[in-house]
Amino acid sequence: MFMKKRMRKMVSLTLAMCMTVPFLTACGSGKESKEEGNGKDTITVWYWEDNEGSYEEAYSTWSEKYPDVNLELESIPWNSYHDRLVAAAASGDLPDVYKIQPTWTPELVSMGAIEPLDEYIDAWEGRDTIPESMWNSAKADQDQTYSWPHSLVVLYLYCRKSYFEDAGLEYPKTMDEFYEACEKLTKDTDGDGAADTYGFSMRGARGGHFMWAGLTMNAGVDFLDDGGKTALNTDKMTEANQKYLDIYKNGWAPKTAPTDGMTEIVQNFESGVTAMLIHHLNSAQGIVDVLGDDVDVVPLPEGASGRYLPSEPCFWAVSSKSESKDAAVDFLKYSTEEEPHKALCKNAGLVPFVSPVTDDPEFTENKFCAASMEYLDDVKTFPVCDTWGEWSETVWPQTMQRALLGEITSGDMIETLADNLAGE
Amino acid sequence: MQRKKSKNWQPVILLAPAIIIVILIIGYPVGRAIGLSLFQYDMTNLQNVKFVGIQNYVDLFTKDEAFWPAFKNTIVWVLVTVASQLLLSLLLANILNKKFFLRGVVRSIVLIPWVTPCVLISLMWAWIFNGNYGVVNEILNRLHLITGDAAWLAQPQTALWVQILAMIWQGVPFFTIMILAAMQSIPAELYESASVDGASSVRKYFHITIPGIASTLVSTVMIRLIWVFNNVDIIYTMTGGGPGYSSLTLSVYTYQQAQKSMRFGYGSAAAITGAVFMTGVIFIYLRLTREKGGMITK
Amino acid sequence: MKEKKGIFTFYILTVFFLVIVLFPFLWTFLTSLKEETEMFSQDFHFLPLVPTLESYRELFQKTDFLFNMWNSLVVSAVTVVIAGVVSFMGGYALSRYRFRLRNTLLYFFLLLYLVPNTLLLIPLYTVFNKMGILYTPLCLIVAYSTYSIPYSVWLTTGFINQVPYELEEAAALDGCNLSQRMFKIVLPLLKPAMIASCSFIFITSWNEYTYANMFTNAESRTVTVALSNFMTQYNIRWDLISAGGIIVVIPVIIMFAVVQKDLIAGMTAGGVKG
Repeated sequence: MFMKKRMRKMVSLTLAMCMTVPFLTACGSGKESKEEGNGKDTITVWYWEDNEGSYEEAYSTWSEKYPDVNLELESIPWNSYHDRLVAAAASGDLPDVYKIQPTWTPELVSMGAIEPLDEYIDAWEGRDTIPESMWNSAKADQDQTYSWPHSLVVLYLYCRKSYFEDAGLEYPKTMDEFYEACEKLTKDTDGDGAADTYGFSMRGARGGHFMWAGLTMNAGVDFLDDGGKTALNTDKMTEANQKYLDIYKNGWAPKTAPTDGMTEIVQNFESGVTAMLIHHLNSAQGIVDVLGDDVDVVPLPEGASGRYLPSEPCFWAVSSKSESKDAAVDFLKYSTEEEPHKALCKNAGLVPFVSPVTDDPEFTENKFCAASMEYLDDVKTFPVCDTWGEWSETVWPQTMQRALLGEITSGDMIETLADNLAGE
Repeated sequence: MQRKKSKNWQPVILLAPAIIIVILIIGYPVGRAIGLSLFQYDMTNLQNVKFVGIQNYVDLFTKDEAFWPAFKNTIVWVLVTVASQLLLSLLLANILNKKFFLRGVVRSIVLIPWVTPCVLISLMWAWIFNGNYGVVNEILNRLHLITGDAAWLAQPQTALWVQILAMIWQGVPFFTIMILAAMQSIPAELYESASVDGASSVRKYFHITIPGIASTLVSTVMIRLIWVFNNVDIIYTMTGGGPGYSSLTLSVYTYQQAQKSMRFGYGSAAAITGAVFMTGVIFIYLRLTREKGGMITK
Repeated sequence: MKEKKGIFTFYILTVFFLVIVLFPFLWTFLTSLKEETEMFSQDFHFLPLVPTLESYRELFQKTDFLFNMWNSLVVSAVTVVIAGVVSFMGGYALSRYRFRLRNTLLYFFLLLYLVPNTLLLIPLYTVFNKMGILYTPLCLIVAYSTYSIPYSVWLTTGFINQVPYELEEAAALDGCNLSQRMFKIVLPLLKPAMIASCSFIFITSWNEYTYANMFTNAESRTVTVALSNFMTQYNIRWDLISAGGIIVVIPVIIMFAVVQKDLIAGMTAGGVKG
């Protein structure tokens, strides 16, 4: 009989252990940040970064300027950033300030997680230090402005200097010259009948729509017309897209192009497999480390209607649940002041856009940075609409890859892209 | 074999912790997923959440271009992977069950793939089969089997197969260790008496070993079916389901719809469809193997 | 003659398996010794031209990799204890008793696996947040226990089925009660099986990525997340990934080298007479 008791005891002990441990420790590990530190306000900031510590260093002067507000910077790895942001928003647990990509705005607005900033922006005396184009892309054709300009990179064309010299070519200025260069720079160097160097580092995997847009939409096409309707499905676009697809079909891009992502295209350029690469400032340091002087940058080539320069801006957003919104906005202003902005651009490899910094010789005399800033007022940002996330993450790579493999035609591809963007 | 048939409290108490833990953590989210699959529930458009009944499922079957290719790939992916894993691990378990020099070392070494994180597996295999710097291309070139570089992961004919190879590599050790453990539980006397009767080793294998490890085989194959079906890490890291739809599986598709496109209603519908299909497969499988030492009783 | 041929095939097969298993790692190891420019060089070399241990130095000095491994170890070990005990109890009940809903339960455990954990992330985040254990090792322990219990219940059920019930009947006649029979008679006989099942739980927890990526922060980050974080938005640190990949498997290999003898030591010696 007493054995049975022991048995019961053991079982219930195990049960109790499994069930109560979570609640016991709950007391110890909850969020304490809001209350701690002798009654001072605390704002928490979430961001992702490429160079560890770059943000902490850039914003290290905060405590001197705003001694009354604690700043808690929390760097979250890029791999989990978006998932975690959505989960935190869904459970009402966002930090006061968080970094976003413009395409995330619709979901954050629909979850009621993001605060409109128009009033703060209009009342800010430093508004003119940031160019109108950045405010426009922050507003992104929404009814209200939900985000604050934070960082910017602009696409340009990397060219392998010695390859162009050997082929006797100038850097391409127009699309025709670009395609000519693609063809002439594709070479079989060891004579085994298979190409060893290719003209262009093409990106067919996720994220490739940046480069694709930069080389096709300069034919005079845009994603949406003025009324917000899809304007993608035109003959001009089909034709421009066909030329782009032909880079791969003619063998001017590596065979791996359909599934090549960002790292692959950069590696291919660095290792000399390709002669041209479209990317931005962020990869410049790595490329110079490998290639030294043997690389130049030029703006993207011009098409029938001039340049189409896609940019990849990031913004700050303020949580609608934040208890210290004024302090949060103070942080936004602080982050776009001359000193922190300059420090961040330097540490993280970003293009400066705040006015006195844009004239700083440290940036204007750097050839990569200068090429990024050359047409700063003309840069394009992609439309912000609720279909864009799916369109760029899933639809574009799948359709692009199928077109590259010849499963669908250029016209089919453009039609699918347009329909999906319109949400049909 | 006789077992206690009783209505006492013992099994309930013994099972309670397992059931409570599992239901507490998984039960609610699963219920939520089933509910969501009947709604239009896009994270990007929460103002327009509405009940759509089975519309998500209808769209999935009739309108969605990606669904049927994904379905077909899923079947290839699961069947080929699990079947190859089973055969290879039976072979490997047999080898490792013999006594030979350095057996302990070899046994530890073959377990390596199992203890390798999936992230690492996909990166390693993508690196080995890399179309420009990959060692496979180099070896094949030196053996004059191919000329120039082959883009293994960018060709619809090969992309899925490279990933199947990686998955087989990952799964064999786990299978093997389970089979080995089960082999130990076969009483040696059975083999001894069979030898006395003059049975050949092949005969002993099929009449003693296989029945002895049958129940382990049944449950291991089953769990493998489910895991291989569910695996997203390898495919998503290596090709993202591409090129085109050529290596898209239902699980990767669900992941794309829910996590990347933020369409939770539609994603849940895709997940439930996959789960129902697998439930059918598992059910049939367990029925078929019931006589062979499976754990489901009549 | 036949014997000799058999041994020959046997060694060929053994070597074949070893090569297949080791090759990806060997290649990763060689990669980890190369400088980055050489990794992506057009001139192919199997062996590094200038072998360097730089990536290992950076891994140990500049990252928290060892700390992340420690986190993984703690989480996995605690999960093994909890899930091991719970599933042994569950497995015993399912093996030794026949009751209504038994088959339903067995099915139920399995079917839970069929829902992809992608769909569980956001609800779990909310649950853990409410419990106040988000970003602590505890939420991973809870998540991994639920994740490994269903299968290890199946596994132990199968193993216990093979322990003859007569042994327990005899013990019951000698006056042993349930817990004595479970822990003094069945458990010792199940040693290899329990080691297999605990290894399963351990490795599942050690390798898990999706939950760990979501539910950890810098303090509780596990090693799989640390590895994948060497891929940032614009960069993949191949050197750190390959070096980390080699380091991360070493402790687990050592662990297996230790337990594999027990794993295989066999019930044959344990006095199971069928």
